[in-house]
Amino acid sequence: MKGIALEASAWLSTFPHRVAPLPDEWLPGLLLRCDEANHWQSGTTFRHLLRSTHHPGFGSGSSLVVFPFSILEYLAPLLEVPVSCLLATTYAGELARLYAPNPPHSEHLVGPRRSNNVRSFLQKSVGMRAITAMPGFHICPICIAQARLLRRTTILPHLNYCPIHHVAFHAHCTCGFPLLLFSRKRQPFVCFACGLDWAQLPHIPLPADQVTLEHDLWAFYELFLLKGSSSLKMAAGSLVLSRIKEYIPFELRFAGRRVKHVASLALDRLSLRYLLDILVSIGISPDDFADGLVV
Amino acid sequence: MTELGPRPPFVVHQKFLETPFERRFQGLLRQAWQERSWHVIAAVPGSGKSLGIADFVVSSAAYKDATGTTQLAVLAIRAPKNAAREQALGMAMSATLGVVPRMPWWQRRSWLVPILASTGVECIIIDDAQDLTLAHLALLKELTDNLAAPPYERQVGLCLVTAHSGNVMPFKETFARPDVLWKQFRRRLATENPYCVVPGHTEEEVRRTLMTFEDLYRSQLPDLQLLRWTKTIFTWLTNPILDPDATGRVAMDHLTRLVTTSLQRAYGHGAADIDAAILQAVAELMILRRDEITFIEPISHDELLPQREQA
Repeated sequence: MKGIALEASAWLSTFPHRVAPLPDEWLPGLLLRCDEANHWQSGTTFRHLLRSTHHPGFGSGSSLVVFPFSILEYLAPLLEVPVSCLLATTYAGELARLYAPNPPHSEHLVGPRRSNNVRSFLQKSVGMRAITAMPGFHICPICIAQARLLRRTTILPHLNYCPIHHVAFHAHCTCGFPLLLFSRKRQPFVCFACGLDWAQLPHIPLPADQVTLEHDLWAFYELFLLKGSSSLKMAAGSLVLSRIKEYIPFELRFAGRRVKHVASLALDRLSLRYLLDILVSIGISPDDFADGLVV
Repeated sequence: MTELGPRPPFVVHQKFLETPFERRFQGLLRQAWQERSWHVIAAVPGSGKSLGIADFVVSSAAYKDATGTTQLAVLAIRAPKNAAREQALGMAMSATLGVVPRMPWWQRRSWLVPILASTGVECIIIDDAQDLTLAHLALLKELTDNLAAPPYERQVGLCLVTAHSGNVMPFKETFARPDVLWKQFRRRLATENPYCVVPGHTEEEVRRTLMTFEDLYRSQLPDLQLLRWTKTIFTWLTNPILDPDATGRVAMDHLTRLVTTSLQRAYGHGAADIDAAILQAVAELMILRRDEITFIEPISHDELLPQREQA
């Protein structure tokens, strides 16, 4: 991407320091890098976008998987990057393919909204909107240390370890407080309570007994998100239906609930989070998809 | 007069001309930038200060790249008008950097220091500095002091560029006051050339500038010979009406107006050069009829109708 010279009109219509999305970067991570590059408090760019586009806010428990196009369109000239580059920092394209013809929605990936993990008195103390307390928000300390990078993969449900660095994601600081995506009055990428840089959180290696599970989950996500289509998802549903009789009733590995019945119609509407939970719980592995869709 | 066929409209060149005044003026700006020194630079209105600053800033090779690096070695702003509070100056400085989200003044004030450091600001130029207030100057001192202190340890040059008239040197009296702030300000001014007046053009410099105009406009007026009018033009433009301080120098704005208006008229008459009559008419317009009021008669509806019908 080209530099902007002072005499160009874009000089005045861009932020003082521009940042461009890194490969596999998640949009809120890009916004935090923008805050850091411009010496702004955490969440300044995010709040500016909401205010400028008159967006009512994402509400409590949002996962920020998909952003409205109006926000991306507004952000693109501020960074002088194409909108398509910003779209790639969300899972909008992948989910649109997977859940066609429905428009992409966060719930397609993470399921229904859950309550956030931060108590209300805490939200008040850091002067933030509920959105900053994103449920299940976690980070890889090595990604942060290397490039201040929040990958899109950090929002994939059930993954507890960074698929790149094989260290545990951190949802809490060593001081015990949860990590908040945006916390006013703090610099970006630091604990809002103690100020510890997220890059300094301990590197906890992936234990041997978790390797297969994490690998399979990651492989499923690659399959569904990178190569996925609505027909692939339907085929996965058929595979589940053909195998599920042997297992019902069974307990979902991640959700911890018992499943007594699965309707074929409902399978098509399942979130990826729930679908993967069923696949893993009834012992279907990504290899079952290796030679085409074996039903 | 050579008769020419139908011509396209006359094009006035908007190019920045590196005139002798600009060389002197930009030389001072460059000195302040290189030596990180503080100067008050004065010149008469219309001498080309603002154009010189704009060209100087552009040539400082500022850029914003996509990896987060922004270089703005020379930050130039115009002093806020009718806005005496320090916020106005802070906002003007922020605005030159691009889009900055809304933030309270206390936050913006402290934000200015790291952002000026990270964008590599080495020299601040304030145009129309005669409009600066005490609050603005205090903010400038605070910002530059904070930049000079750890962790930034960045000395920043400062040029207060002012329009002046008469023999009064702007800021000289203010900085000579006994208040601590002014003492501190005075101490920061450069040892060499703290107060500079950049004069306009001498007759020889007018001649050289006319030579440049000839080159610029020869494509539109092929027989153009401006040099022969040097003496006359210099005499007209140093008339007490245009040079009330009797500096004996020519301001670039006057020279440009006289030349381009004359060329425009000559071109409009289908000529390939200007003549004495045209030059004199324009000079009279500038000198004798400068404050003349023109009454624009209202155009009646009836007069417009036939034209509309023709159209």
